[in-house]
Amino acid sequence: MNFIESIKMAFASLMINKMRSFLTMLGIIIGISAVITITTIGNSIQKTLSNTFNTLGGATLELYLTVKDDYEGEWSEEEEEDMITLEMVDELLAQHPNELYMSVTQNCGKASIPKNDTVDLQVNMLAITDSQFKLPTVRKQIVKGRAISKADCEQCKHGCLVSDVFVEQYFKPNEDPIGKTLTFTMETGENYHFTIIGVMEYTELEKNQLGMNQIRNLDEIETHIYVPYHTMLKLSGKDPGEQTMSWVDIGWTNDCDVETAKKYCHEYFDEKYANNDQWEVEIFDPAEQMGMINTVLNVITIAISIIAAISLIVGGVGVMNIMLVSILERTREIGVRKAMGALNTDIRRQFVIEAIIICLIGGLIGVAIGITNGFVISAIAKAIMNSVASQYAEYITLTVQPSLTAIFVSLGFSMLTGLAFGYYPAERAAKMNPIDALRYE
Amino acid sequence: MSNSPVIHMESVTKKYYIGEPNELQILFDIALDINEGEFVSIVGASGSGKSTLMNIIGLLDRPTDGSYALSGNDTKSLDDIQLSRIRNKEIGFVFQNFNLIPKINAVRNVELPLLYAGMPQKKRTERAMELLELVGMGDRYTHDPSQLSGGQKQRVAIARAMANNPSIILADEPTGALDTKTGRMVMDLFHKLHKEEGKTIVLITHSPELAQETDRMITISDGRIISDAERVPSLIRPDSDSDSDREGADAE
Repeated sequence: MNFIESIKMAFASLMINKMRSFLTMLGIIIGISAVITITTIGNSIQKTLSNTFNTLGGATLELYLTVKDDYEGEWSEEEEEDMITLEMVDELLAQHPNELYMSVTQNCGKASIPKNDTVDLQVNMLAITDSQFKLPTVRKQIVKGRAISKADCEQCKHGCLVSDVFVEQYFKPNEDPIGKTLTFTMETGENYHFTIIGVMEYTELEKNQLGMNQIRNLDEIETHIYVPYHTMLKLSGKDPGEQTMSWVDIGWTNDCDVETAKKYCHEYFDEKYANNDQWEVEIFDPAEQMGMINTVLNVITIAISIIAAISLIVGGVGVMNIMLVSILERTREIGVRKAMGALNTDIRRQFVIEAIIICLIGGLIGVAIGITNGFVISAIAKAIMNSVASQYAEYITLTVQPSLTAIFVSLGFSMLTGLAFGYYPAERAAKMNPIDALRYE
Repeated sequence: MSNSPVIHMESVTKKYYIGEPNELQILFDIALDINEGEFVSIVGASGSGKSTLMNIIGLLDRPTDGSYALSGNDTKSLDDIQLSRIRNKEIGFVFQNFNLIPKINAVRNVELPLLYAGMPQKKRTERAMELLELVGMGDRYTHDPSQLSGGQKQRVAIARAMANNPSIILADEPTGALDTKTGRMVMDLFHKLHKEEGKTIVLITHSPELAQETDRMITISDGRIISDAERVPSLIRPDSDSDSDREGADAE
């Protein structure tokens, strides 16, 4: 008798007593669904944290100057010539044009724009690179026109991005802001001219931070104006070689990954600073901080899972109990099968497979329930978050991520439970004396 | 037809609780030859040892002493697996209480010996249907045992016993749980199998009337064969060549 026949036969005999089969499974179902629920929650928290982390700025590498490990000379502050320059960064990016980008937001101070004779609007000038609006950190949407492009930076164009709030402040309703040129009077007294190329929208959280809800007079709100980084640099009269920075954020595109990006940065700056006695460029990957949180979460998840898995043993004992009853009930059947030529192995296999199938089906149902629980809990968490901390809601993406490992391990474990607790009853059935079994009433 | 008997027993004894104070001997020095194509009945009161003898013939039990050869093969040296195989291929059991497996239908019950013989599903079903047709149950093959009457159950059981075309059919009180009329029907079926299929049938019964119908009647009492009588050529069945064969064997 082959294996598939045995499985069919086991299914057939489980179908005969559906209620009992289900109740037997229940122990396994509860055990497995508990384990899967816990691991799904653990895994989802991890995934949500790391997503949120990336959203809030985890997705860039921070490059900074640091003293070399083997430096033994006198400690001193970094000199101008030791600093990372924009030229270096541009060179690095030029080597990997579609893989790396620089992420810069430089505050250029406040400026005022005359709205009319009596009112000057105060704005914050922010110099950014073209990649800035691609960052997941920047959740601002371009609602009109376009974002700052690479060409804007490279050719030092005088285009700027204004906000929806600014449009409300400065323009009449229905007036099209695109193409209008603004005059910015900087704190230093200089006047710069920028033409509006696009309008971006603030998020609710940002609007709150701007004080939209507290400040009565719309004109008092200081909005942000984005201008191309290189344009501002040129206006300040600096050359990219002179523009120094103590740190720089490097991001990577989908064509690259974090490890490759790190490699590129190391390659470039290690060579650049090879001859520098004191200084070198170090890379800080904020995502590494996540590693520790993940470890802690993993330990907690595994610990609770093991406790939940203990309930599987209870379920297994239930399976064994029912198998023993079932075998006693079917003593005559076993006798007949033996008289008809069934080998001990045939009988043993039949009952072991029955036990395994009970546990496996129970396991599958448990997995399904566990995953469903994950989604239900996520829905509840989302509802709670929306009512308690709605302003942060857009930064946090709740992700339900069932752990595949946990699913396979627990299915394997439930099969093992079936094997372990089904073997003894099956062995008893196999060892029955056919004459006694046939006579059993 | 072969010259060696299908069943050959020499000084078979069976004891229980060997070496204990309550040692019990059931069978004493049984010598028995049953030839191919014979329809033999073994008669005895309850407790006479006929069931024990049947278990030994059916390879469900081993003799304590003596030798038993089935189809010319000595069974003493066989292990459990080999015994199971022989039970599967060479012996068809028919029980008093039918012993059909509940909750599985007639075809599946008949398929059982074929299943353990390793026959593929499709061929199994074909063969089972054929057999059910033979015992007149062709129209009830999807019925569960619980939906069948006693006589019908026993016919399914007989079809099952025939499944692997065994050398002998061992019927233990096959009419014991049936009323006279259905019992008659079952006996007629045995006669049919004997006559038309040439089956060797060993019928164990306590009823002398049923035993009278068979070719040969072996009477057991207190674990010993006390008579082994050929039936006078009968009213029920004209002689066949199996009789001459048997006479040849008896002459040995």
